[in-house]
Amino acid sequence: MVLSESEGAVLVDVEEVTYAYNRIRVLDGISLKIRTGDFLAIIGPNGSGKTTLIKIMLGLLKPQTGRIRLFEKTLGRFTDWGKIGYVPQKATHFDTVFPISVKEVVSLGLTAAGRGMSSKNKADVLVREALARVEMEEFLSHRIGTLSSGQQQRVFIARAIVSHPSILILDEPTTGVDAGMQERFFSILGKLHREENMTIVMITHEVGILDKHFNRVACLNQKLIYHGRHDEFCRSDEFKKMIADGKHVISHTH
Amino acid sequence: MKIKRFSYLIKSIGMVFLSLACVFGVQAKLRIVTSIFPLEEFAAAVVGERGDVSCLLPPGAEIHSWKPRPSDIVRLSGADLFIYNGAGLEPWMEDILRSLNRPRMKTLDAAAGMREFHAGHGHEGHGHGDIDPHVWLDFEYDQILVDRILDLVVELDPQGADGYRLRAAAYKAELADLDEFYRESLKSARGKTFIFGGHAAFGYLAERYGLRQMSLYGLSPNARPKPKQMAGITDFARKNNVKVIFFEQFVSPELARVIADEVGAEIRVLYPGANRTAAQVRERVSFLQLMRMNLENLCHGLIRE
Amino acid sequence: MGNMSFLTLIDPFIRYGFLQRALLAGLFIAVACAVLGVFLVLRGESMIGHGLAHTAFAGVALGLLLDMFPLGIALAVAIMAALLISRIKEGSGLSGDTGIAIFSSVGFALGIVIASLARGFNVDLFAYLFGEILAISPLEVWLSVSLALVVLMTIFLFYSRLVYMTFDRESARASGIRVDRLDALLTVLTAVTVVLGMKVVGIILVSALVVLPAAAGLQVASNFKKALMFAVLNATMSVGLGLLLSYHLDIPASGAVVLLSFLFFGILFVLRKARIFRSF
Ligand SMILES: [Zn+2]
Repeated sequence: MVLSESEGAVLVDVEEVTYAYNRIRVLDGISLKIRTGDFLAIIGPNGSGKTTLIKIMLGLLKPQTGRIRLFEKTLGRFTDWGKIGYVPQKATHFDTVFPISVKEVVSLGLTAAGRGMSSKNKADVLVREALARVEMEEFLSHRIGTLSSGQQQRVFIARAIVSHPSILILDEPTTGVDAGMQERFFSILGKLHREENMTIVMITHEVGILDKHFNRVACLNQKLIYHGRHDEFCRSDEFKKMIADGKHVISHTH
Repeated sequence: MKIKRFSYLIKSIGMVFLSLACVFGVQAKLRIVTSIFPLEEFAAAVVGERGDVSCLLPPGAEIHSWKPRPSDIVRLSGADLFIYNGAGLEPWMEDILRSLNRPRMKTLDAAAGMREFHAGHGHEGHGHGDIDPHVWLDFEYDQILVDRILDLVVELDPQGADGYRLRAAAYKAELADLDEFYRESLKSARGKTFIFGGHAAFGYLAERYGLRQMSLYGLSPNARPKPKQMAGITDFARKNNVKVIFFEQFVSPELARVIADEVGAEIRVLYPGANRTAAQVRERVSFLQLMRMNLENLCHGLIRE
Repeated sequence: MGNMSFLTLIDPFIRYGFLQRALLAGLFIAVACAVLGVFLVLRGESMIGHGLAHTAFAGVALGLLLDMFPLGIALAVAIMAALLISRIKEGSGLSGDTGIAIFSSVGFALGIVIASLARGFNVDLFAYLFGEILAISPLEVWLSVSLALVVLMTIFLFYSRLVYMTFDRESARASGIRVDRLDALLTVLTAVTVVLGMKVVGIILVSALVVLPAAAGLQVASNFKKALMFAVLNATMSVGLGLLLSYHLDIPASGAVVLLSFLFFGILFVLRKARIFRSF
């Protein structure tokens, strides 16, 4: 089942968003629609406003102009946060002595969705199931600080998907994760996308993995330079120009 | 340090006014400053209209925890005579007197002499250590204090000597009456012990009239009572079926009330007399009156062991 | 000491109402302090209890000046300060505990000035500075117990939102949690708890009751619930044993409670360092 451009319902609708931080323009008139079935990579150099855009979409930052609609509701009216799963950048940069178990971390994901969560058992089932989806069930009662960062990242994905969201947003989740782990990581996301029909948005800087996993690409550098199918992107002038300029989409140095 | 420097300034201003007063030939009244209220009353009783007597301790303050403020030092810098209690009741006093540096100001240490007085009355002398500073609660010693104030006042203002002597004698007679009244009232009392939820201020008074003071705090109310002490007093009160627990004016009645609640007693006030409330000042309640009220309350709460 | 049985140890707590009241109020306050403390320590706000207690001092002084229920006025002042502190944190750009430091010293200074207006540094003020477990009235016990229950119930009600916010503030916000309101709520609850704790261990030591049990819990716990449990255990044992020691050894209760809490913290710290148990 391949969805072509204008088929899926619009889950996130970004309209003419402008954002400046300390008078430095970070985003300039961004309009972007994210539709059901998208497996979208947001790419762009450092400081191109990728994280800022995500934060604006989630209502964490207030844009100077423009508006956001989530599930066809304006941001201010949107309350159904269980439909959106979010794994922030540096999610794994918490205090490692923080006394919280994997199970507790994942059940936090039900806080927003399940304010009326009636039974504790039901929550328990959801948590176990979410951990199974990221292949982490056996770590249920471990303290999260004792896990590797790849494992922690998967726990945070479990937290994001425990409420069975329609859309999962990840901000550079593979930073600092080794190649083997990364492969496993993408296979988990791919499964969520295929089998649960989950829309996935991910900020990434690993351009090499683009064609393997994503079906759409948004290239950002203050303005939205490109938004469309990833295969077309690779053939596009913008991409070639970027490569030619030596201004790689990858500008991170690790 | 700051207080010292400030007081120098104030002192010099005071001197200027003083010399102005001399130049213009104003007949200055005798200015007497005391630290606590009983000494103020004694001094006022002696000098009458010929002197201005004032008390440093403001209404409502508790002497053990009070410290003078700059304005008090100003007042002190203009005094001809400073009467203080001594025996550690005014720990700030020495520093301030030194910083005032007025060798010609007369001072009177009220507690000095208590040791000899006490020994002379056949009591076991407190040969060492601190003496109980609450000397004003011995009404015979108070008469000696009035005499000592009289001597100093006569020395400062010999012209008024006759009047001073008459007034001092009259006040001493009142003190003697008070002493006699206490002795008579308490002689017939069946109980001798009283539980005082304040500090041990009534030592001299108790000794004089054969009473036993059972107080919660020590000689100063600043050290908190210990739980065991509370328990001990509660046990005693329970065992002797005590009906009245006394609390101290200017010290929170909380602890007295706790014990009273524990044993089903009522609480009544005792006035240590070192100070008055603002209301008592307005109503001109005298030291002698406070002591008579104490006697009346005491008679309601003496315990027979 | 041989014939000093357990019964003789606890006997005074059976016989004297004032000790019972101290124990009852103390235990409830200890639980509230410990639970709040875990959140505060993890948020890096260990000093807020200290700050609010010092601000409450102004309220106590005002209450004593006006001769009105000092604990009530202290409560009102501390809650106002709590709301202001969280407001200041939002808008002023003052880092971390700078706002708290300002409030605590200004509050204390205000207290001293008001106390001097009350003509003399009133003896009663010492009871609040150093704690006065002997003078907890039945009304205060009732107030302490019910307010401690309110604090605990509020935390229970907002439990997962508070944990979420404490662990990962950004994700909590992104899931629609109003973290700014929860910040204010937590600060207000701290204000209430600290004012109640004042009577037991005093203004100067009440922050220890918030921080020490929590820090002890964080030494060994593998999950949040256990951290709370250890903190509560530490706090209640410190208060219970502290009062007992205070009575039998004739030492101030506040000091005994805090030192015991530190002792428990120290034991857990050493155990963790020695890896005797990795985590519970
Ligand atoms: Zn005294």
